[in-house]
Amino acid sequence: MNGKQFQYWMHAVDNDLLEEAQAPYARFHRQLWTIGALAACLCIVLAAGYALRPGSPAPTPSEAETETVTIANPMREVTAEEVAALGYEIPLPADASDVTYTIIDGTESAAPLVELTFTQDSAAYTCRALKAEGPEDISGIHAQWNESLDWTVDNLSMQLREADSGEAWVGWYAPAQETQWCLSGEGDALSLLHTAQSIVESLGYQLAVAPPEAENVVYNAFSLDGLTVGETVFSLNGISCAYRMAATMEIEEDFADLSGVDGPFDQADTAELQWCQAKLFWNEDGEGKIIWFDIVPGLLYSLHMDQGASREALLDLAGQLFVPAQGEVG
Amino acid sequence: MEDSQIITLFYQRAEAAIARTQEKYGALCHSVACRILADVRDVEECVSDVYFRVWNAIPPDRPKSLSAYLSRITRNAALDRLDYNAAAQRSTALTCAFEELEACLPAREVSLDGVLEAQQLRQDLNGFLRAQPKQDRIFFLRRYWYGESLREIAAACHVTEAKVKKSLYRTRKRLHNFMEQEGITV
Repeated sequence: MNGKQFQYWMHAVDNDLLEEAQAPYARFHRQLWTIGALAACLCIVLAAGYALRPGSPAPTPSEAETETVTIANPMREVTAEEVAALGYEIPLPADASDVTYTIIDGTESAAPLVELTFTQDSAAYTCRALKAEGPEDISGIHAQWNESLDWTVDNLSMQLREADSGEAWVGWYAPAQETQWCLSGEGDALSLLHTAQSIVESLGYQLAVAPPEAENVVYNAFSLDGLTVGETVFSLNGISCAYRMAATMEIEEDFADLSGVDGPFDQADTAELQWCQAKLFWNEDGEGKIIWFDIVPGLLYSLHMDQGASREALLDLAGQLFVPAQGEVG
Repeated sequence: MEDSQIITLFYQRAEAAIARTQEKYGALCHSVACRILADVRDVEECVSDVYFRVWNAIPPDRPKSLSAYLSRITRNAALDRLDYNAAAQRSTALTCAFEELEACLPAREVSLDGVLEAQQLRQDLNGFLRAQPKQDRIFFLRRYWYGESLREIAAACHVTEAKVKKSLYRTRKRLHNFMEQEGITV
């Protein structure tokens, strides 16, 4: 690494550290303001000197007008109908209020960026959509992301970003609609993901995977041992269940356990879930888990039940939830 | 004026946004630029360029910290101009500061192109900085991010130059050890 590379490396310093270094002492501000004031005075003197120098005629009004650079306002407040007419579909949560629609021109995309703001449960959100050829960051938020997750679910490319300083956004790209959406606002990344879940599901995609009779269905995403894990937690007849899925590049017979539950378990067994090798673990008190690996798409799965688990119950529920990424085979 | 109000002005495309930014952060932008660029005309042009870049970037950008956002844009703009001026071989406050650091940098080339490598290096850097005592961290960033001289840091932080020098020496040493531990050194 040379000095130049280090300069660029240093560019990655987090915003809060830069702020801390900038303004730790009041006297520092005064010095900066003095420098700024002197610089401003210097600008005025230089500008005046230039304008009044001999042989330099004052610009005529027409010249002055010609030199004025006008940049058109890229923001336009519009209606929901105008947004829909542009081919954007942004279904809002049922209890959303104070909704505004804005179009922002001037992006690199042929279509304008659409921005909605709304309030839900007293929290303010911003949802953006942009016609795009692939996933991209349209949040407009610049931060050093300490959590950066990308994963795929139901043909959607999902993105989640969260910074130590509190900024976060959740995005999803639908290849079929060639549209990138992004939700940001108050709250952490997981609460944003829960709000995004209702929007995504209104668009016809299924983030959460749970039996039809399940209750309190919540979708989560997080990082576990270097893998991006998508998780659906739900209640089924009073039993709390967690169904997890993650993509992996590792192809090992002793595949990773995503469940996050180490046991100990009294009982262990193996079985086949469709064509996948599965491992089952359960206790007499009814807690249990099943983990399996679909080697062709490289997807790891786990299902944990806090009660009611047995070999049959685990295989039955896993069989209901498991939808192979490659579709039914044979 | 609060940052959020200034950003609202940008979103409303009100020219007052530039004036308010200049009032609140003009000195900061000058301060960052003049430590990277030697020529006062370059500094003035760089800062003007910063306002133009910010005007074009907000919207759609929505920075949470306007001061850090402007510092980054200014530093980028100044480094761009520094590259452009490289043929002139001008020495600046920041390049002088980096000469001090080169002794503790790993000799092998580190790729900053790969996303994963860049992300790891970013985590390493911020992890290292957060592990430092607050005052040492502030001195380090003022010297090697903002390019301030020892005298400027000492005056701003109400300490002696010797104390700043000693702190920077210790931090550079810790950085060297840290890089060795993390395997990004020889």
